[in-house]
Amino acid sequence: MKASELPTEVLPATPFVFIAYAFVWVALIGYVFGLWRRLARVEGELKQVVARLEGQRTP
Amino acid sequence: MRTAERVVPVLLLVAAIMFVRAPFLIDAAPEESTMGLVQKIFYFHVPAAMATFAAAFACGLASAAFLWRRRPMADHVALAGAELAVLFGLIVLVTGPLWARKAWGVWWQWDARLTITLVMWMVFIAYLMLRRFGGPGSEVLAAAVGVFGMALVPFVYLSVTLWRTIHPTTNVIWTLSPGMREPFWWCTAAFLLLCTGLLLVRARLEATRAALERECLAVEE
Repeated sequence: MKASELPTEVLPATPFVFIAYAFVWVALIGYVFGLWRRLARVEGELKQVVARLEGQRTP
Repeated sequence: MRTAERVVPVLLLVAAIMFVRAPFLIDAAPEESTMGLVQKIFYFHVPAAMATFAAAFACGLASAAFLWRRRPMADHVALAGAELAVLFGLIVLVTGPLWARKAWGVWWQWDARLTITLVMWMVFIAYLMLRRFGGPGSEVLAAAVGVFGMALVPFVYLSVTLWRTIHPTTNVIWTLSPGMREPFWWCTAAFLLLCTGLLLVRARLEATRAALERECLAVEE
């Protein structure tokens, strides 16, 4: 069989491009959302602890 | 810190606007003559790599500063940089094989560029694992790992020049056709702005967490 007659794999490009961009958006949005939630939780806990500490200090 | 608190929302807003506009610019860009549509992964893959390098440098330089002066803020920035190097590095390592499968016919090749990129990414994973599981005092050892990770960046960048590799060379960026330049540099700016904004926010999270630990100790006393 000649090289030109060998079956060649032709993959459509669209799924690869779509999955690549979808992954990027999901990864970035997921990270930003997770970071926002972590920051809100830690800042909330800090406010509570500071308030408790001030309550302990004031007679 | 107050300047950062004012600057960060602006940075992130501008980055978000740029990311929203990016797909329209990418769609309008001409298709590359040999690779066709799949080449458009380039507009996120390469900027993500640049953001990975920027985050790696942030981690390495902050780690070096921490090893030298032991300032807590340097440690916070180093941790933030490592986390972002892992995030953007993951984007590179996922979008690259998706592009490779169509362009080269294989998902992965153990060539110099791909292998060194994977190793560099794993070094920053090791940094995060050290910080997570290493216990008190692990920040010093992790800082050494961070410096080592940063040292790998020039090897990643120069790998396509130093060794024979299937990966395109760095010349590609400077020889882009006019229609491709605008979307590429737009996406690069978007990724770098996002990386900078996220670095500041993540460092602030670590600083807040450290303040919380100090206050909790003060309550217990």
